[in-house]
Amino acid sequence: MTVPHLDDGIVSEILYRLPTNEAYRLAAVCRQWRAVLSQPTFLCRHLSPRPLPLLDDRPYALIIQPRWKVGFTHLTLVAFDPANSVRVRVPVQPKYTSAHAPEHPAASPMETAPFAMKVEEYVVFFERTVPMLDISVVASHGRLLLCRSRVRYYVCDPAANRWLALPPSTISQSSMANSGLHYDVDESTGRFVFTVVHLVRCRRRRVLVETFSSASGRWDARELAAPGVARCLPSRDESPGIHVGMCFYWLTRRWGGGRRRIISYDATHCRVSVLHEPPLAEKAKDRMGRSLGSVGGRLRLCAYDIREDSESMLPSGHNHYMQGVHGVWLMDAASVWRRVHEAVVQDVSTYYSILIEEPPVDLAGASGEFIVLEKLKRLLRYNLESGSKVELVNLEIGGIWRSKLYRHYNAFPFFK
Amino acid sequence: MATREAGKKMIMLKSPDGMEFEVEEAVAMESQTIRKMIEDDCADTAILIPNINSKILSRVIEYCNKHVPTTGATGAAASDTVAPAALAEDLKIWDAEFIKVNRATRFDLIQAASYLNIKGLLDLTSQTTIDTISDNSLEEIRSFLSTKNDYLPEEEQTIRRENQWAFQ
Repeated sequence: MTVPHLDDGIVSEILYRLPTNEAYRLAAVCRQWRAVLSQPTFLCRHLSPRPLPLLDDRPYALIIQPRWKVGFTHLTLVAFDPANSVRVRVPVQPKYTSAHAPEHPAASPMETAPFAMKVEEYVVFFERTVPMLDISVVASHGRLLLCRSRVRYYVCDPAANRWLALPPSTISQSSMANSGLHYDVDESTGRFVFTVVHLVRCRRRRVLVETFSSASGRWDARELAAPGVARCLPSRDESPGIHVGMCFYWLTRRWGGGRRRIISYDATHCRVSVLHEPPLAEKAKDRMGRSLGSVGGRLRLCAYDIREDSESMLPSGHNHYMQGVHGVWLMDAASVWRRVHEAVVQDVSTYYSILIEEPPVDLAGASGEFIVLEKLKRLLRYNLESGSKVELVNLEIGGIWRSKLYRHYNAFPFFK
Repeated sequence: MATREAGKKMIMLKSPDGMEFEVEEAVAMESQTIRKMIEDDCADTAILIPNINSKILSRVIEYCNKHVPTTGATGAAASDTVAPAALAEDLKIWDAEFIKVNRATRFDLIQAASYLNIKGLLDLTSQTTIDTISDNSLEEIRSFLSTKNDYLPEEEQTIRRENQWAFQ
């Protein structure tokens, strides 16, 4: 029998078609096979995300993920349209479940069903793959997610339950990095190219920019001198990277007064810079929340300001009459903020002078009509045109451990 | 082949060992690589297909002949009488018969399909290989593909640790 020669091309043809688990298991066959797993021919074909959803497409669900891990990865999938239901049960370690909220009964209907139910791939991804890899989502674009574990980064296609393990990056996995993900699909060949970006503060007020491209299959790092940007890094708990074309944006959440900054990284020109947020609404005294998103190829900023209306005193004994103001701005081609929406929420103060805040939530790739707000731990879908607000989920349901866990969280869109 | 009716454009394919194959343009254009050459007008005389010997090239042409969309004078009659589903079923059986070749030939076919960019053939040949290797242990796969394990024992442990989840 002749010994067939398997060149990289043949190995790649075989590996990229396999389920992800199987492909990475075969890395142990020999050195050549392992090397193929980080070559562009594998990286650009193993995931096959359908072309990007249209700009006005709504996500099927929101992935709500606590910003801090408590020894395990947890997330909640919330249908974007309350008429749909998303059945994903992310396993929880018993010590974190509280007695009065048995969220995960021992025998779920799925396990006891006598007939084999067809489980959708995305359910397998969120229920099995996420805990198995022990990953957290750090950025998203269209149908793909950028996730990180303690040792490496993964680019995941949840709808197909496929993922790519990126080679180890040069920056330490524990350092705070602002991350971003971008991909393009070539419709004629079905191949796609993705770029991962990290921004890290390094010594002498410089910024380390590290990028990974599936076209080259390796990380490239370069240091840029940018004192203004370095000062804003590392943001204590970074917002997910929002990008418009090849420009990435992060909202800094620096504590302390003053206006927040937006860090931007232009991958085409390899430039970092700092943007200012739009001014407060007229007569407003404070900004209670802001979020970034991208809509129709433009950067969008949503903000919630509080203003005091001393002229109209209420007979009910209120000293102050507080109004909340929702504002939405789009950044135009000349990098100037243009306000596209403003709405007033009447009387947001209560008897104990507690403000009922409705800060917006960061969401990459949101649709143009909607923004997502958080009001008293409830997520609301806010229709900018009609002004209607629909409750999507109450994050306090599920016991104390859960409301603690979900005190700070990130939201990512999920397209089925 | 030369006796075919006029009006159909024929293309000459040459293998590096000197054999020449005359095929219909439509058949040759099953290969995206050849299609591109034809569209760019680089194919006025004969197209030399490097790296693919005559034995493999004749098999590839056999596959393309079978899979060329049945339109025009020869195909119209067939598609009128046979339902598309039955036709697809027929093709499947034919494919299964076609791929019953030894490993070396199959790998040559993958390589040829990859170079000529024939999606159907590439899917067929790769999928057959995947079917034979999946669910086998690493040792079995190595012996089946005649690949040598060139890892040191400790290296292999590192690889396994690196992608521990893949071995669960």
